Amino acid sequence: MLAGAIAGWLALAADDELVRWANAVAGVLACVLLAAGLTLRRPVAVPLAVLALGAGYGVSLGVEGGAIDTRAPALAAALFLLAELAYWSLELREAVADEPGAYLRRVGLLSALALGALAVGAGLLAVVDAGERGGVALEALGAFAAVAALAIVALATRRQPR
Amino acid sequence: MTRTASPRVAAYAALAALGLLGALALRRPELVVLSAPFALALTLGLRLAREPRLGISLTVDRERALERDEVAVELDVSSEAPVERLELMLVVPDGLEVSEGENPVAIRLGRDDDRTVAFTLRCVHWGNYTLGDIRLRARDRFGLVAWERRPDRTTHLRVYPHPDALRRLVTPVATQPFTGNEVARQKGEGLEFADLRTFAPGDRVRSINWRASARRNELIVNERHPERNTDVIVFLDTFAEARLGGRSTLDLAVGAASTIASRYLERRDRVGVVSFGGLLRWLVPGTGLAQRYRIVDSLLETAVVFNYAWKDVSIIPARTLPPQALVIAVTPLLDERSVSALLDLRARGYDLVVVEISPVPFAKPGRSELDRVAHRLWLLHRQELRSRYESLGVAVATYGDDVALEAVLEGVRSFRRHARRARA
Repeated sequence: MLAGAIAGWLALAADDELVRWANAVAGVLACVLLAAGLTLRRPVAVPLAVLALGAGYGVSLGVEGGAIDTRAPALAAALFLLAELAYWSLELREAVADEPGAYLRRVGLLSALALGALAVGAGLLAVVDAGERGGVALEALGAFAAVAALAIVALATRRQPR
Repeated sequence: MTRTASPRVAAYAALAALGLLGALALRRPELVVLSAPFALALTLGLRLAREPRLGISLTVDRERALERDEVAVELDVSSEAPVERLELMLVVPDGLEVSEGENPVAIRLGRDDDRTVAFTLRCVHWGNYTLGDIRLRARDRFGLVAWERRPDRTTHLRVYPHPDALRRLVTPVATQPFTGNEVARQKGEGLEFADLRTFAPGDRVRSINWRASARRNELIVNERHPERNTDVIVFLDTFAEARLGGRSTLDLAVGAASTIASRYLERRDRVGVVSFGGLLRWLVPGTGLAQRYRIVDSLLETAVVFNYAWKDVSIIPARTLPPQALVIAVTPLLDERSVSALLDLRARGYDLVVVEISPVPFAKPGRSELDRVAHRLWLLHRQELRSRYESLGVAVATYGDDVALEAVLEGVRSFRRHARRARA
């Protein structure tokens, strides 16, 4: 539902027909991927669905261009929430009973994370808006962040038997 | 503990990386904003994740239980550091099932916290069970890393077959010299009136029947039957079994053998067990509660062991089969070796009763005409086998899921009454 809502929001807010179609297709694809992933218990479907929605947004940014889009922090928080909720759904399909109060704690944590994502996104946009001219510095920052993300993957997926 | 990364780690890292690359390619900072929550959650989650130090113990409220009983199980978990989500699972063996409480369950532990997870196991099937295979999985706050461990806290639980209600047992032909609850055929000191006879020197005055003496003008004394115990051997055939789904003839046989042995022991009779199969096991006759536990414990170990070797009663130790003992054979009559061994026992003069655990409900006739004919022939062969035993004066009664053991033994008693009258 959240994936559909995100795609619908992006499609309806678009002025260009191509962007509208791209977001609609991305929304349907994301919904199908999530439904299939949750049914077949395939976690790989979650990032693919988020990627599809993000790609739809990327198309709208590329086609429509213009000034900085202020919807980005809200969209970032929504996509992050979508991923967390999808992973939670996958966890709930395991036959492990939670103790009373666990759901409330989880909802609280997810709300805090979504609000945090919103705040971080807004902060980033504010920084970008203030600096405006990122140029080479922005590219260097992006490249560094990409390398750092890959390094984190390599570190985290390494097993440590004891 | 074994550390594993959740699928989130790779996914969030990939999303963050792709978002940043997209931002570079399109020169749009909005895509950096999109990837920021994923990158941040990943960084914070991995930075804050700490391996938990867990202590765990397993407590089962008793070591012995009866079928259909419920056993309380407690898992005590302690942790020095907080654990956001700890998944606990006790691997429950087949034959036991969780009746109350949750297994597996997820709990949260605080710093220096100690929690007890309690649940109840229902004993569905008799057996000798080993509990203690525990699976632990601790997750960090962001669900990015999991630590898994399989501590072994081995505890044994013996589940005994639930004894059926039996009001009357099969009366043996001969009794033993020791005091018991069975009225002996011989005359002596006892309660049951047997006969009258003339007084002889040495007779006790209290045994004089004054009314009979008055009528006959001479001293007449009462003779009585003494109460004696008996020797009962439960002969369990473990050469072969018929199985369908979760039930088998061996399950029924062990249940029946346990009930019969327990009831005879309650009457202060001496009971022994011979498990005659691929593996020969025996328990010399004894009496009392200790013998009851010995017998049931030995029955729990019963299993069909495949063996081609020909075996007859000569391999059974002599002291296991005392003379004049009542031998109650619990058998599906499937293996020629046990069939001939029982015939041999009868030929040696043992008082024999056959409780047949019918394998017929476990073997459905096939679909083809040939299969159906084979099934009919098999049934006829079994009928002929029963007739052979009956012609030798051996009562054969069929026991199954739909027949109470009480009814089976009543059939045996009825046959033995009839057989005795016929001989007279």
